[in-house]
Amino acid sequence: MTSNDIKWHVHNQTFWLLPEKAAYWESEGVLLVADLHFGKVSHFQRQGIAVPKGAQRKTLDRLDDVIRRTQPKAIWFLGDLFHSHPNEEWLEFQEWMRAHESLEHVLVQGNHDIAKPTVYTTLGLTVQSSLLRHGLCFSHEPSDSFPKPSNPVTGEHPEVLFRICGHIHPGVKLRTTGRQSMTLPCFFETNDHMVLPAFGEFTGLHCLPVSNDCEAYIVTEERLVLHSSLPRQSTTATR
Amino acid sequence: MTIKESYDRDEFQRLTQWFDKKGWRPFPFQMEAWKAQQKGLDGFLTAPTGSGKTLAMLGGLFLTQLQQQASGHPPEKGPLLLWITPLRALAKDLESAMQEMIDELGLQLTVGRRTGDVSSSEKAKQRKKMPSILITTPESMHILFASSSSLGDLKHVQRVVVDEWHEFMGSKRGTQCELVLSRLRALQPALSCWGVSATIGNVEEAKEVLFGSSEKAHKAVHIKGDHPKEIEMVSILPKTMDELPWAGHLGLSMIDQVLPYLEPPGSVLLFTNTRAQAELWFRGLLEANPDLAGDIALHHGSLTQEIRLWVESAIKEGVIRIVVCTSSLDLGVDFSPVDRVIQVGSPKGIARFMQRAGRSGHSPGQKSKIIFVPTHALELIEAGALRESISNPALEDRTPPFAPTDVLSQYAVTRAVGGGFFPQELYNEVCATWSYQSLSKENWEQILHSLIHGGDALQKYPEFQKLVVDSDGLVKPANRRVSTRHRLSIGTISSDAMLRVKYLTGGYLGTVEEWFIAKMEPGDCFWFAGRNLELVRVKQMTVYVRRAKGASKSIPTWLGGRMSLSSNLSAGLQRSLQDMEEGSYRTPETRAIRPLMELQAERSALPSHNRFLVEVSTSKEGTHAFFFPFEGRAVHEGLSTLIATRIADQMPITFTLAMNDYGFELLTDQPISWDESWIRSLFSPEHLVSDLQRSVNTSELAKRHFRYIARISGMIFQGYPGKATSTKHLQVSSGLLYDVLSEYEPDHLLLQQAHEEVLLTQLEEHRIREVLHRIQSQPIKLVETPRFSPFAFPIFVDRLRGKVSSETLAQRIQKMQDQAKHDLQRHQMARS
Repeated sequence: MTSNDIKWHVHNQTFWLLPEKAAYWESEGVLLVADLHFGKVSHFQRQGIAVPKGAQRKTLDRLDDVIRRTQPKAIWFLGDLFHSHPNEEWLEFQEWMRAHESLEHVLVQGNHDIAKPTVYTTLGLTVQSSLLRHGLCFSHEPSDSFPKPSNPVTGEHPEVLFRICGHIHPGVKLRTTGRQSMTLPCFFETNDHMVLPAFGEFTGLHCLPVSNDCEAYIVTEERLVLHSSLPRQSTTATR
Repeated sequence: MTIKESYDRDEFQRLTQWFDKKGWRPFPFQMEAWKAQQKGLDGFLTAPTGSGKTLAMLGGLFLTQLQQQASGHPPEKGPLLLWITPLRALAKDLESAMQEMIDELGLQLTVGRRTGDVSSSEKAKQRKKMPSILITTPESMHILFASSSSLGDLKHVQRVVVDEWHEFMGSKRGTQCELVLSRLRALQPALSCWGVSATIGNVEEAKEVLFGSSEKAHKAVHIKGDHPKEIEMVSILPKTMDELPWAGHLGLSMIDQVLPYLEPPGSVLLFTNTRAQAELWFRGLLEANPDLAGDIALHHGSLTQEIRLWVESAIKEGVIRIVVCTSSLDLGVDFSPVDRVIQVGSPKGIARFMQRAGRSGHSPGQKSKIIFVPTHALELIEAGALRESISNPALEDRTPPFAPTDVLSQYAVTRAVGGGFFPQELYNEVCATWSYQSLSKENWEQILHSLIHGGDALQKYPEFQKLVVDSDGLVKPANRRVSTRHRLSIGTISSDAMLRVKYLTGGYLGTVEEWFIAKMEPGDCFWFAGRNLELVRVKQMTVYVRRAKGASKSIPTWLGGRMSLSSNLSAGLQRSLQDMEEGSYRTPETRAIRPLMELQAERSALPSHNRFLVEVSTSKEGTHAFFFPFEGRAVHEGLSTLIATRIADQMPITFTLAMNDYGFELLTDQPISWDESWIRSLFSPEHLVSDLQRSVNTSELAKRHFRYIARISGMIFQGYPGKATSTKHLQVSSGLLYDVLSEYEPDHLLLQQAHEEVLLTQLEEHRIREVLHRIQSQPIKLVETPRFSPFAFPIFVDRLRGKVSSETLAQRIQKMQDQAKHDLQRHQMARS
C-alpha cells in the first residue's frame, strides 16, 4: 500500500481505502468494489440510445490495476455488478472472469442484478444476499433492516456491528474560495455504515451533505482526501 | 381591375354585410390578402396582434366557401386550412373566434384543435373526420407525421397559415415548422403558404426561411397591415435614490408606488420578467392592499390551461380588473385591450416593450399607455434608453438556427415511425427547406448511419436497435418500443423534468421543475399559483399538496427566465451613458439617477464610449476585476470565459466568473497585478475562434447546452408522467452522456452541434468580435476601488457563475487544505 491510500479501522478490523474507488481488507485478502454496472452501454444501445462503447473496458482495466497492486485472494462485488439483463458486453466480463479464475468471486446481489441466480453462478460468481464476518455486514443497500438469521437451524441472530455497502454512488460537492464548486466521488462513512463509491466508469454521482458525525474520503486524481481536512464547507452562499 | 371591383360579387357582399352588421369595415390589407388567397398565392403579412389578421387569413377560404355554397357544392373534405400557432394557450381562443365567424356567416365549415391539450378521444374523432380548419402547433404536426394513418388527410390541405412567425423563427421550433411545410408541399405541391409576423429587423430573411428559398420569398405577396401607434411611457421614479436597491431584479420595494395605478376604473396588465417574480408580485400586491382580492389574478406558463383560460376570459368580461402575468400574455389573438400596462423591470428589448405597450388602447388612434417600474437603480438608464427608442425604434433581428442536427435526427425518426421513408426522397424534401438547403449528402448519410448503426461513420454497434432498412430500402423503426418512445418524446422546447402539482383531494394546479421540489421535504410550504401550499408527498411525477396554514418563504423558480439585453437596447444604453458623460440628462429617468452617476464618477469613472472601464477591488474572497462592455449577459458570458482562459494560459490560476447585462467580473484568490497594456492584449481579436473554442472546451457551457440537444435527439428519454418507473434502467444524466461521448467519440455530430450552438447562439461570436475591435480603439481606464462602485456591486451579488481553471485538481485540493491549516492556526492564535 502507498501513502495515497488510507488506512481505515472499524471494530478491530483494518481496511485500506484506495483511490481506485475500491477497498482492500488486508487480513482476509478481500478486495471490495461496488456498482460496476456492466452491460449498461449495451443496454442503452439496445433501446436505441447511442452511447459509445469503451467505458466497460476502462472499468475492467482499472480493476486489473487494483488487483495487480493488492494481490487479493477474493473479490467481493457489493451489488449492481450488472446494469440489467444479459447482453453482449457480458461476454467481455466472462472473458475477464476466465483470466482471473484463481480468485474467489462473490456477488452480493444488488437491485440492478435482476437475472436468475444461475446466470451468475454459470459465470463463476458465488451469489449472496449479504455477508457477515466479524460483526461486519457486507450488503448492497445501506438499508435499515438487518439481515435474517444466517443460521436457520439454530436461529442465531449474529450481531451486526457495522455495514459496508454500495448502491448510493456517493459524491460530495466542494466549495472553494472564490465561490467555485466541484463534485467528486467519495467513500462515505456514518456511525453505522460505510458506502463505497461506484466503481464503474459510466455511472453518475449522488451528492450527499457531510454533517459533523459523517466523514467523506474524497477521491481525487491519485489520492484520497479527508473531508474533515478541508476548510469548513458552508452550504449557504455568503455575501 | 381594382380590389373593390374584383369583389363586386355575391360572396363578397355577404362578407361585407357581416362586417356592416358588426359596425366594422374591412381594412385594405384584409382585402388585399383575400384577393391573393383566392389566386392561390403565397403571402406574408406583417401586422400587430389584435389588428384583424385572423380574418385577413381566413377571408380567402370563407369567400371560396360562400361561392361553393351558392352553387350548391357539398362541403369539401378537410382539413382545408392548417393554422400553426406557437402557443397551445392561443389555440382555444382562436377556435372560438373562428367558430363565431363561421356561425354568423352561415358557413358549412368546421373548426378543430389538435394540440397537446386536446383529449385523445377528440383526436380519434378527428382521425375519422378532419375539421375544415385545423389549429395546431409544430410539435402536434410532428406527432401527426409519426402516425401513418393521418397522412392521407393532409393531402387535402390547400393553405397553411403560420401565425406569429417571428416567435418561431429564432428557435428550433421554427426549424420544425420548416420541416412541416416541406412535408406538406411534398404531399400537395399546389399548397399556398402564409406567414403572419410582427415587424422585425430582418423581414426579408424571415420570408426566405418560411418559404424555403429567396426565389419563392420574392414571388410571395407581402402585405403590410401595421399602422404605427403612439406610446405614452411613464416611469415610476423613487422619491430618493435610496429607495431603489443597487442590485436585484424583483422590485418589490416599489409596490406601494405601483398601487395607485391599480385603482379603479380601468383594467391593468402587470408584466414581470419571470414566473417566480409574477408569483412574488401577486402576493406582495395582495399583502399591501387586501382589498384587491377578487379583482386580481395571476397568469403564467406553468399554470394549467384551465386557470389561464379562466383568467383570460375573466378580464375580458370584467370579472377581474388586474392580471399579473409574464410573457405568457405577450401573444394572444383577441385578447381584449386593457386600459394600462405596467412593466416591472427592464423588458430587455425594445420590441418586447412596444408589444407589451400595445396591449393597451387597441382601438385605432388611441394611445397605448405603459408604466415602467424599475427594480434596481441602474435600470433607470435602460428606461431612459427605452424612452428614446420608442419614438424612433430600430427593429431587432431574429436569427434562425442553421441546420441543427438534433432536430433533423429527431425528424428522421419521426418519419421512420410514421410509415417509413426512402433516404433519397427524404433528403430531397429536407433540402427544400431554408435551414437544410446546404445539407451535404455526407452529413445526411452520417445522421442516418448513427440512427441505424449507433456509432459515428466508422463504427457499428452490433446491438444497437433504433432504425432498420428493409429489403426495399425503406427505413423503418426496429421495433414497436422505438415508435412508442419516440412519440412520447417529440418536441423541441426542452426544460427540466416537470412535475405536476395536484391537491390531495384532486384538482390540478400546474407544473414545477423537478429540482425545485427536490430540495424540499414533506411539510415544507411554498407559494404557487397564487396559493400557499404544503408539500405532502411526491409520487412518481406528481407533487401532492394541500393548502398551508403556516407562512411560506419559497417561491418556485423556473429556468429560462432570464433574458439578455438585445443588441439594439444595448446600443441605446451606450448612447444614454455617452449623453450623461457629456452632462446631458435629457429624460426624467436619467435625471433621477444622476446622484448615483455622480457617485460612480467619484468612486471610479463613468463607463462610456470614451473609455473602457476596468475596476479592481480586493475583498476577503480574493481579487475582483470588473469589466464594463455593456453588451448584454449572453455576450459577457462568452467574453469573460475568453479573457479568463487567456490569463490561465499564462499562469496556473482559477477564476470565478459573474456577469450581468452591463459587465462581468473575474474573481480569483490569487494575487494578480492588472495593467492597462496587459488588459489590451487580453482583449485582442486575434485567434478569437480558436481561443473561444478552447475556452468552451474547458468550461461547462457546452456540457450544459448538450442537455437540450440530447433531449431533442432522443438520447435522453424523460419517461412519461405516471409511467416513470418502467424506464428506470434507462435513466442517465446528459452530463454523463456528454463525458462518455467526449471521451470515446469526440467527433460525434451532436457534440459538434453543442459546440457550434454555444459559439453562435450563446456566445454570439460575431458580437464578441465587434466588442473586441471596439475596445482596441478605446483608451483603457483602470481604477482601483476600495469599495465596489454602483456598477460593480450588482455583478458582485449576481449568482449565475461559471469557472475557468488551469490548475490541476490536486493543486486546488492542496490549496483548500492549506487554507484550512491557515484558518486553524489563526484560530489558535486568536485563542492564546
